[in-house]
Amino acid sequence: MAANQSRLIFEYNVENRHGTQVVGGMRSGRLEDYPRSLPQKLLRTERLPLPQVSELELVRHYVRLSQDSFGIDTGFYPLGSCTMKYNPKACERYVKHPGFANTHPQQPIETLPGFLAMFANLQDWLADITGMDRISLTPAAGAQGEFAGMLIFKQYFASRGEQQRRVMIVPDSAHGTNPASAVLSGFTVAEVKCADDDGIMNLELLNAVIEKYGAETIAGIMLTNPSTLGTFEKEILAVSERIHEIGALLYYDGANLNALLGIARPGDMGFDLIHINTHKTLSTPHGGGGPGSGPIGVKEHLAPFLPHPHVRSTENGYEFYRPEHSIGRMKLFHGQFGILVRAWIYILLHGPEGLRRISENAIVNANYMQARLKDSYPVRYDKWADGTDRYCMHEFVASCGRLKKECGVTAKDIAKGLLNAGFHAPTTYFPLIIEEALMMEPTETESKELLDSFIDTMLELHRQARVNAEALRELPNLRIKGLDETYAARHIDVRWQPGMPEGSAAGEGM
Amino acid sequence: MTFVPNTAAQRAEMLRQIGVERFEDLLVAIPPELLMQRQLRVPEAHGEVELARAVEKLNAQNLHIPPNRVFAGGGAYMHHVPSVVDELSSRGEFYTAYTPYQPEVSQGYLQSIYEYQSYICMLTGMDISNASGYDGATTLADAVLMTNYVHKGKRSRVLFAPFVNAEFRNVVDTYCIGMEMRTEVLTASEQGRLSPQTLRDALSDDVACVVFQYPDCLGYLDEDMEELTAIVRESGALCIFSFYPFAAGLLKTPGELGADIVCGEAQCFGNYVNYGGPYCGFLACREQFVRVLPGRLIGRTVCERDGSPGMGFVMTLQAREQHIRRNKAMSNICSNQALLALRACIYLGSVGRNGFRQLAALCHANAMSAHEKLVNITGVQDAFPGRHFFNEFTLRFPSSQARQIRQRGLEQGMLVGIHPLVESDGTLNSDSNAGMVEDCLTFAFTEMQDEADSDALARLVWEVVSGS
Repeated sequence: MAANQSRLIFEYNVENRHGTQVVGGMRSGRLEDYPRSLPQKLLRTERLPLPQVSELELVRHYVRLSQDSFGIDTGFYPLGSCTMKYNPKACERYVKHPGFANTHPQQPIETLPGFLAMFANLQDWLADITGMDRISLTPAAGAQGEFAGMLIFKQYFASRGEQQRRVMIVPDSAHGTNPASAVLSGFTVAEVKCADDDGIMNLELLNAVIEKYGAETIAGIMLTNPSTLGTFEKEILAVSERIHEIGALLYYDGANLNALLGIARPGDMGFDLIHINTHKTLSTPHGGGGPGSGPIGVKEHLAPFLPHPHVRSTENGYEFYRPEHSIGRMKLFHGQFGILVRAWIYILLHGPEGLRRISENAIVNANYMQARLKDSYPVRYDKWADGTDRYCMHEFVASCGRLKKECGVTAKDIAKGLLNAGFHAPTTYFPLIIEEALMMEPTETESKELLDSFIDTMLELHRQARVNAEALRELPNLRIKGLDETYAARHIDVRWQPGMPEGSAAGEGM
Repeated sequence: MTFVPNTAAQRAEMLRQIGVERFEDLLVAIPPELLMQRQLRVPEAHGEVELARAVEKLNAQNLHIPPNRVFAGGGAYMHHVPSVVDELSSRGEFYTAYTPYQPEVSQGYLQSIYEYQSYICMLTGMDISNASGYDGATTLADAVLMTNYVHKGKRSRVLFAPFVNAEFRNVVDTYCIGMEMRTEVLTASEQGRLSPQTLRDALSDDVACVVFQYPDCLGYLDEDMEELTAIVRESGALCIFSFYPFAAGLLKTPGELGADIVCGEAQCFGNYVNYGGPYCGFLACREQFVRVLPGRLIGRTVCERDGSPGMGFVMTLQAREQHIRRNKAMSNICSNQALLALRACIYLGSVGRNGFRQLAALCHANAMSAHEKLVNITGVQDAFPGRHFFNEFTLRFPSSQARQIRQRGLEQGMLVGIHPLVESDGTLNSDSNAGMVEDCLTFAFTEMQDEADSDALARLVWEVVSGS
């Protein structure tokens, strides 16, 4: 190989080598004739440069690539706000049932009462878990649930002749998807700086923003509770009362719902609309970035605007229907079906006590880590204004700000040090309001022994940073490091092409 | 059952170190009236034994149609999933990973997605592909919004060529609510085509893009596509193709036909039909639109590898994305469909150049063979005679028999065509071209069927049409 790099599948190509035999030879005999039934003008003239490799070469290639990847099955993955908990194998096994996998989405739903019942079960269970009146299962991911939610707000206000409500309040600790979803739906974002206060939303901050924009222009507020700081928004009842008083609505970002199962419900807090990330709370696998699934829940007044199809019960069972003022379809067919099946299985596996136990242990694990780490990695909001101890919920945000001042070691350095020690890193530099942030979410499925070994590593890195910061950056266990993102952005190489020399990066200045 | 490892003793010890007596002490910030006083209303915990029973019970209520007796497409195609795709994509290192935020420990996944992007570029004839979107309809909506950014919001009309799948159009309509773009469906000619004149008349300087589905939702191919795309280009609007990528095994790519942005569904590559999801939307464009392309993008870059200079992979051009740009991002996409993209990537490598061409030819051959059998039945006609198709075509039946044929099919364990105006949830979707396909059914064929299957289909249609 010419360059020092991992070989691409295309670079194994050997002319006329056979891959997987999908259909037997007896069916391919007369195929050469068939393209002749199409006019030459439509047919491809150049051969597709797909690789020609044996099945064994293919297997070794992707097994090797899997070994160069890190999943929850590999090791501890404390990525904050992502809920990287164990993905039960039973969910994977039973979703492969041919009854699920091989059912075509155009098969009439009347012939699939089992699926309708499953959709209805899941709608009912998620409604009870979240305290909402109606659940729609169709959004494809959390961000799409947010988008659906924002469109529902928009159409709700349009139906009331209140189109002037265009301002969406978003705290500075919010996930980036929140402002992006609001803008995509035609709203203007008013960011509220909670950082200088307690880090949470309160009446004073809220009133200031309402006054600034005018109560009649406010469409609503998007909150994550617990917030991305891992803090319960303890003023939530006052906030929701005030928002409703001015005729606006509350949106709940369900990214952190893993803290609340059987403990508290967004519906009871006054939220009008919520989304759930099944790939977080209900442990459907993250898949390397997806698929997710983002069911949304609403209170009755927003039910007529839900996306379709939606499932409701009838005298003889269940049926699909389109809510009266539906915002429309969010995606093809009936949602991320295979993901919803896994969520259904996950709830069945846990039962009511098991679900509460998830959240209890997620909270205990996070607080344990916070308690043991905060002397070395300070937690900005560790006391309430009255001086009482502030516990976190399922995650917390530590800071390397002090370390950076003392010895120049940053959150990124600590993150890479953790990779070098065989752990995945926490979320870094988020939320934006914490300097040199390390956002950690251990989840309920990790043991005390594992947390101890991680904490010991964090403390050791802290010690090393102060004695020999350079040594900490050596990362001897990482085969690959120093990946240059600036170079990647300037020399865009995002695909292989035939004739490309091995290991070359494509043209500059694109 | 739970997957919580800590014992009661460990938990007590942890609470002690935290400095509280009871778990409830950690919840002091939650107003007491919000604390739940009852258990959640979900079924009692199932073990694997009860779970297996529940899954069987659920599936036993349904009608099961064998894959070779599904003669329907409409956005989802019943192709065979090779064993190697399931085996490799089931590796925990892949499916339990998340977005590769830490490239040092994610090189394998990053490389797979780079390979996926390369495949999508080959199949579409485009320069840049993102790392996947939710499905073929949402990536179509993403494509439409891209044209809004390209034109800086100054062109708000979206034109659909005739016979773009109604579910896809519905999703675009939903996505357009926020940006206040307006969609219109162009009127078809008598042959179900878009005539150059109709297109010219509809174009103006407020049209952002024209959307073509290729093959269209009736299965047809247009020989004059290059002429149409040239007309669109002259007007300053962009051409979007919603493309069934299996056809790339035989047909010219949309890039060769003049597309600016190509999107569609990669479900057909190693992903199960799964009652509609999760699927894999792909989105690719010409080089000049890369800055408005939503979603993740994986790039190759320089790095230190085993102590010497080398190449590796990272997420690149992240400045387009929500986690950096927040309210100025090109989209709100965070999760994508990486695992399905990985499966598509493994699939294409597994069948390879010759295998893929052979499979595409077989899909076409099966469709041709069934078409011949069906149009020979008295009373059955092509919806638009003489039109060419790849693996899907549309037939016209005597009044009201389309519904009976589908019903009879279900009775005999077959999914016989789909009505081009009826969506997958059973509702009727009407547009200005609806009258042309009222008594029609659209049939799809893949490598799953053989002659016996199309014989059974033809017999069923003959029985209904002839009244036997």
